[in-house]
Amino acid sequence: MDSEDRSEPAPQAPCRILLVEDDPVLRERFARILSTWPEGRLVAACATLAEAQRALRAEPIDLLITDLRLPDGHGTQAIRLLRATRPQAEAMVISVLADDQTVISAIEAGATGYLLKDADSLELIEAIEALRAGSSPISPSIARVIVRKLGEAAPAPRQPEAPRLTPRETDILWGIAKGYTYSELAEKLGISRQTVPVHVRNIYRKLEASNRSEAVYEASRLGLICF
Amino acid sequence: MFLKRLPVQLALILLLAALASLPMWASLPLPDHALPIAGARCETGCVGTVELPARLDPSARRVGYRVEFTLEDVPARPVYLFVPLFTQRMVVTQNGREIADTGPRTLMTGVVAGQTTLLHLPADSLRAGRNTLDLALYRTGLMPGYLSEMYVGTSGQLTSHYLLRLFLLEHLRLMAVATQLLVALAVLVAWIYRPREVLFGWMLLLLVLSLLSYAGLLVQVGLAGERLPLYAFLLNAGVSGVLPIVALLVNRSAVPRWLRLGVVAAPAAGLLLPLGGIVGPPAAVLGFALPLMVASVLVTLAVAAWGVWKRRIDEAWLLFLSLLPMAMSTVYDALAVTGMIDGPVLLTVYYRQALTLGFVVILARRLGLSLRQLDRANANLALRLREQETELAQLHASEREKAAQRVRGEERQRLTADLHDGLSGHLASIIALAEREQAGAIESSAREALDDLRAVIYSLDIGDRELGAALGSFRERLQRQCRRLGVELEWSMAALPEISGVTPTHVLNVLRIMQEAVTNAVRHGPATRIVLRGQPGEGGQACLTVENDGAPFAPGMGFGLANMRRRAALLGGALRIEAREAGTRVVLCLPCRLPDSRPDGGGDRAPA
Repeated sequence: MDSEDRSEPAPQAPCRILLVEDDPVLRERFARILSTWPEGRLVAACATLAEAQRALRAEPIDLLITDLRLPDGHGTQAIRLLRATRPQAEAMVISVLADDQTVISAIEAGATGYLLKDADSLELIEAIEALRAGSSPISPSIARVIVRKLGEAAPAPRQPEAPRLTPRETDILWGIAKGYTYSELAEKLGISRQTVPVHVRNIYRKLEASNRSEAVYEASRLGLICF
Repeated sequence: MFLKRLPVQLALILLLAALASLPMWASLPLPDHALPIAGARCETGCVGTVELPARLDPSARRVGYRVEFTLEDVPARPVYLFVPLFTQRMVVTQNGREIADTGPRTLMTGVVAGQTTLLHLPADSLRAGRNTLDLALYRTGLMPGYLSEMYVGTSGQLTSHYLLRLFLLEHLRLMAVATQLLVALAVLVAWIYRPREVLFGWMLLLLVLSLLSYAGLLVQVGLAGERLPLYAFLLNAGVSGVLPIVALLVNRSAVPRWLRLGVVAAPAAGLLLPLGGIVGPPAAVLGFALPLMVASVLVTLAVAAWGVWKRRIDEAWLLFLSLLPMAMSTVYDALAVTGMIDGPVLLTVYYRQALTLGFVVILARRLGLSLRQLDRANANLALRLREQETELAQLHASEREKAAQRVRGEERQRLTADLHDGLSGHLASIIALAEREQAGAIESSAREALDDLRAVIYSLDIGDRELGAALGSFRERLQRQCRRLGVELEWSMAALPEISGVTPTHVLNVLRIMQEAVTNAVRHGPATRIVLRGQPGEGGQACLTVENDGAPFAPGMGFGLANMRRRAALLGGALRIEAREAGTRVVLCLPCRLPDSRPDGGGDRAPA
């Protein structure tokens, strides 16, 4: 269903956005905010997973913004589908609390950003632009959970694909978990403040990769990959 | 039990008595084909002729007999004289030539209590027709002398009869000594390992004392003087006291004091009689020690019988059975020694071993019973241990369940308190604001409510020494808030010392103090810039500072000051609010180790 020419957007082409949120009030609010962003184009605003999957198959999407708990499934399924069909596309989850479990499961599915449900228009647009610029947000509690997860995965022989972080990435993760700001961290590690969120993005991608087998299973279940 | 029925017991006693009395009425087989000599002519110490077996005159020191036998011709094969039973030392002369002296080659027991001999009659002094043998018997002990009928014959005719008597009269007696020594050793060991068992001690004493009756052997092997046997026998009278004590102990009865004294008094009196010159040793033995012994054995038998049939004690039955032959033999021997019956062979030497064996059985039975008891006790203990383990496991499980319930309860209580402090207050004001349709205020109040909910939820996961992470999350929320309000936020917590003892309740208290300080700065001192700093304080304290550039602090300005102070107190810290030239500074100093917080102690009921 995908063709090369359609999947590779021109640099100046508007960002094709798919919004998935079951709460109509919130959905409308986000849709309104997104429509004000000149660089983007809201392709569809879906209320269910099924709608989202249909939309994902119908048209190439550059950015998926999805709620996780949907009436007929889970937002991560939509994220996996997107990542399997368009690896270069970005996904972002909307969460009331942005709590660790929600965000981590989204990251493992392939999301690289998250958004609070009460985010105002400024925050939303900033978050999208940062994401498109290659930076990912991370909170200390999420960093802490990732650190813990990596610590647990290390001795287990059952996880050959445990993500291998570079020492720099590990330092950053530790620093954020301890509550340092990006600037404090950058100063401490002698790097530029702007590179910190880029490292975070790399960490997220490694987390997704370590979870790839599940993604592959999911993709094959959906009939997207033939063995 | 089968053995506890009276008819069975009586039958057993009769059988035992019959067996024990066997030597008294039965006799050993005699040589059939040898030449018997049934009469003798007195030479010295008596007059006329005697029929054999003969008892010797007790008053004579030496008795001489002449016996005659006739050979048809000089035999081709060696000829022997077989004397089945005699006591004392015997010197034999054949046709005027001394051919044997039994003295040097007979043990004391044999000399006094019967011996046998087989003498080779030298062929060169034997002649066809009549031959004479002179037998001289020298008296050595208390026992009356005895000479049985004799036989002349070949070794084939006599040897088996001789060897049988040799075994019974010499070897068996020595075996008895060995048995007694062995059992004495066993009892000694039992007593050493269980000294509180008095019975073992008395048994041992009994065995040792009765060994004294073998003192004659010591004399013979050159280890003691001539008179030792008599004195030893007098000392042996102590046995008379010990025997009833053993029986009483077996019956589990009290031992009278006088009886214990008797154990010392009896031999003492026995020794005093000859040593004090009152009577001679033989008279002391015959007139004192012997009657005492007989009386003691009979009394002991009676005590044992009382134990068996009145007190129903199993051990008494064992004692009774083993004592019965000894009692019979003691009476028999007493009669023999005093010459009242013709019995050269003293039976006590043999039958005392029945008592010794009785001791072994008692000892072994006790060992077996103890081991059985031990097994039972072990099994019982193992059972109880299992029961207790199960009980303990159940207790543990219920204890764990209770603990889990308690933790859940505490957590629920804490969460309730935390949500009550923040969220419910905000929701209440949202309702109030909604009634007045103040949309802007509703929005900010709802945002505060959501932020507070986030604070509560994030704090759940905060562990010890993770205040930094909690502050980091707080910073994120604060950044959004400040950006919405257009307030510049400066944040630097890298220098904050690490704090231990951190619990979710502590975290919430710290965050709420900080939030309150920021809210006040925004609300009352319209600030454009807020600085949050963490740095070390005095004495290892960790100080968190919130500065704003709004109005200087004036008393009575903030609404939540009382709450902030109370929260600071719960953290074991101090809150300082200072007016600056422009603006206000709130400093919260915390100890490097926070106090233990109870889940209900951390959240006061005041709205945040």
